[in-house]
Amino acid sequence: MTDKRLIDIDPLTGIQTWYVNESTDGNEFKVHEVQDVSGIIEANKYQANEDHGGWSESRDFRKVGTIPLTVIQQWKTEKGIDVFNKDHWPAVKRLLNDSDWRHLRSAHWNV
Amino acid sequence: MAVPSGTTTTFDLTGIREDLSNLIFNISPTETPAVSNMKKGTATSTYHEWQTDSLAAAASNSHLDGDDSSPNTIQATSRLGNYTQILKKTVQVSGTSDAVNKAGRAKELAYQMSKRSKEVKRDLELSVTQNSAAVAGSSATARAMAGMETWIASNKDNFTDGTTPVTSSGAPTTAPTDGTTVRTLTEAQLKTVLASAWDAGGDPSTFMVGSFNKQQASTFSGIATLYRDTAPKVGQTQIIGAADVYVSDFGQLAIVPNRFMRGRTGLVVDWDYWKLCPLSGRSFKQERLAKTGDSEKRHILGEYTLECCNEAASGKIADLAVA
Repeated sequence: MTDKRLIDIDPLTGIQTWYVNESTDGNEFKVHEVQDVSGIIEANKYQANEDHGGWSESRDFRKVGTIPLTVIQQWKTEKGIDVFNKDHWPAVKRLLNDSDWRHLRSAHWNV
Repeated sequence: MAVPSGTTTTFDLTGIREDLSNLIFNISPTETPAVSNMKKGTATSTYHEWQTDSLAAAASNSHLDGDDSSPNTIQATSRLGNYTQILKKTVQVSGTSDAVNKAGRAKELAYQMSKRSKEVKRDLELSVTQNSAAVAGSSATARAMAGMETWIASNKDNFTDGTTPVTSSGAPTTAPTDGTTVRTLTEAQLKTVLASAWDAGGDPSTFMVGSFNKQQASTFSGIATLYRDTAPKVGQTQIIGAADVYVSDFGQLAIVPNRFMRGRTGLVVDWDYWKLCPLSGRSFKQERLAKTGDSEKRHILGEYTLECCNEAASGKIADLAVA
């Protein structure tokens, strides 16, 4: 029988952490993280249609996109690509430019 | 005798592997960006030491034909250190539910361990990022590591009366002093600190901030426009629960939330120069404790320290408003 329990809801990010144990001997479990990313996607789409092209006011920084924390974790776990590792930046760029992930970009230009 | 606080009503069972460190570091890694992203090393003593070296500043270098060579002044390496800190969480389960089937007991233990694992990693994140001084410890005082805020002294933007002593040898035993006035986070502050870290040889890839300043940083790119009536409704949690990725003259930068660091400080980090070091053989593990009553106790225990290989490769913006 599946034993599924909520471990934590992060009040700041809204990310839910669930403990799920489906093993017969009870010794193996999974930890699921759930995040509603619809608002982030909508915000990225909206910003992409703005005219400033992601530039900050001073034009010192140019925003590429906003990536939900659970997607960062998914990339790291499933693809071995770490957003925080600068050596992985070419791979992160490839993903951001991929049409499957285009709504993580907040601009129409390719990274 | 009263049931000790925190005791669950199910019994536990062996089966969860003894070495928990992989499990702990794999649970919710984005919640604890510091301990998840820094490199891992090993400490062999409760006072962990390492050496740092630096090149002489670039200078005019031209000489006469046939001139003799004189020896350069050799700059001694700096010997730095930090103390290991013991972190632990206890799982205590009553002995009254022995009739529960074995899988049920195992599942309860697994659940308790998953919760405590998450908790102890958050405690480690807090220790690693704080402005705490290194404490050698004694029979009455626990050893404690100095955190990232304490180490970063070269590249900082703070209110005028805030201080962070530079640690040129030994462990940083003096904590930084906060400035008496807080400021609003600005792009200019971030650019200044990034530039000074870059000039010192760093290549920071992450800007970690608390929740309020994550929202503040989101306004850098005009995300304030999202608050227009025509814009989609974006809640506070959605702005905070994501990394904003920027490119600039200093490479790419991810702005990420960290709810366990101090909200009044933002850390600009080059992860290549930080190491989380467990004392040899003291990575997170669970141990069964002696029975003292009608319950069974275990604890999750680990002993870690923070190695700062080059504080000048990172930076901090201190004395930031948090509301």
